[in-house]
Amino acid sequence: MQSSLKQFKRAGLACVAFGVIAVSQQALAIGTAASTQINNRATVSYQVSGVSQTPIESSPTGNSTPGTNNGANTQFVVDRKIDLIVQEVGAAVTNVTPGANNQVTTFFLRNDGNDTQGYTLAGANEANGATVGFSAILDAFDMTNVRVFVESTACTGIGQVGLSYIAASDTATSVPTLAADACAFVYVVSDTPISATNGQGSVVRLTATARVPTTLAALTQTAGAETATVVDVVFADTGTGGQTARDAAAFADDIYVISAAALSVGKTSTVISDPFNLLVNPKAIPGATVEYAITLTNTGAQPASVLTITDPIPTNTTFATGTYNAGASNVQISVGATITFCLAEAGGTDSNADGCVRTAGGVLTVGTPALTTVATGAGNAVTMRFRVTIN
Amino acid sequence: MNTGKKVFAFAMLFACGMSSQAFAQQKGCIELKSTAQIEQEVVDAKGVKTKQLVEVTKVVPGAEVIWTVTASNICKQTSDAVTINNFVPEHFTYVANSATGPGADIAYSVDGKSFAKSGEVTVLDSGATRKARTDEFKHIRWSFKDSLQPGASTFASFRAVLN
Repeated sequence: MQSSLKQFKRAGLACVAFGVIAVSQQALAIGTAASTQINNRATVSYQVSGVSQTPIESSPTGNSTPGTNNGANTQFVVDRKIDLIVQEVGAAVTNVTPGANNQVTTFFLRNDGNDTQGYTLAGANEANGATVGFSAILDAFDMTNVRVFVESTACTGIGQVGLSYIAASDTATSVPTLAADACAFVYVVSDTPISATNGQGSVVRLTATARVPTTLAALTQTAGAETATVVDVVFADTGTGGQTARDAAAFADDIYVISAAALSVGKTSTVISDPFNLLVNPKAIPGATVEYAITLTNTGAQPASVLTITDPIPTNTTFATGTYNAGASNVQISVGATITFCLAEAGGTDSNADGCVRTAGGVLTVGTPALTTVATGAGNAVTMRFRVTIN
Repeated sequence: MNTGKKVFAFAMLFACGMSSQAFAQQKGCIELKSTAQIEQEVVDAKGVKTKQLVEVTKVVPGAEVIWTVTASNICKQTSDAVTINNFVPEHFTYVANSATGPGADIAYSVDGKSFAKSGEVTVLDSGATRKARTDEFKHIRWSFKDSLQPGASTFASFRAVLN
């Protein structure tokens, strides 16, 4: 008896040791993992007639047999919590130019549940008038060809830097598996219609929906009562910011804003001299010299580049040569206080390749390199001058 | 020796698994039952909201579970110095001031060895002793001042939140 009792005690100790191993599983930062078994067992000690009795352990239905391991655990398993967050990265508008394809906005997806889930992703245009939290610009047009791609580099957190959409490698359009507390960066990629105008906005929304891992089959919340031994599914996503609570989905919005050049062209003429009054109060009579000034002002948000100005030389006038730069040039180009010159050759061939030429039909053309860009703002307005003689 | 080992393994198997049958013993004087419940809000026909305790339903991180241990005296003699010990289950955090038991002195412990009243529990932290926070309580002990009469029951309960 003595030895068998010792063995019983040893067995009890062994059970305790196993118990410690069984419960040493680490809890995730986001919460206790689904399927984790929760055990509880209480012990009562008492006296009868002043004599201490063998302690009795609890069981779910009630136990009165004294001694270690004669009770049973009251237990259940942790259910599967479905929760997720989607947020826009950067809180800044994405500037695009009309006609520009594959324009990218970036989003962040995190699994806030307690088990691995899969996610389907959808990008969509929002209705006109929609806004985002970080910009006052209203949605006024729709991007086209809206697609969604997942960043292939492993996500380490919302503050991760150095990532960008790479068409060759960022090809996944869903997230087959995402561990609890893990994240992914998602790009909405779309094309800008050429018809969009400067300052217009287009709000796009990324919606992520939690799905069954790998198969991406729809998740269903477990209806009815708890089964202590079965892992139930509970949708736990919140309804803040216009989201639908407990639908296993979350979204975030970003805005594309058209940032384009907007050129305005002005043209003035001034009589420089006439054969009789010379430079003093000259009149526009035959033989008089008239200077035309064409001014380009960019009121948009982006510099206008690769420009060509063409201006037909007015009828009944003759293009005047040797007019600027001590007679070496016949077109003057000023940008603010900076003045440059070029020579518009007759005959349609820009033989000195300075960007200025006159075609046979009497059209003056000024382009690169004489004129390459028109930067934004009145101070960067470009004025091109040339002179003609009235026939 | 070999036989001894076998006997030990045999004993362990039964001790861990089918304990009550393998070691059928005489019943003690107290039947101890442990239940896990959650609080559920119910709305009656008049639209009045009340909270009811129901068997654990969906338990996900953040859920609060009420653990109740019921002790019933099944003997013809009075039980004295009834003391219930329960641990806060793994993955759970004890909810401050939630432990109750009729006429019981309640003590807490972080290690299951040294017990003290709430506010007097200490913990060794980086070589220094400091007061333990309630979320560090891992064991609870209810010492009932009154005797448990034959046929009578008492209970000890506490709340804990799933991490």
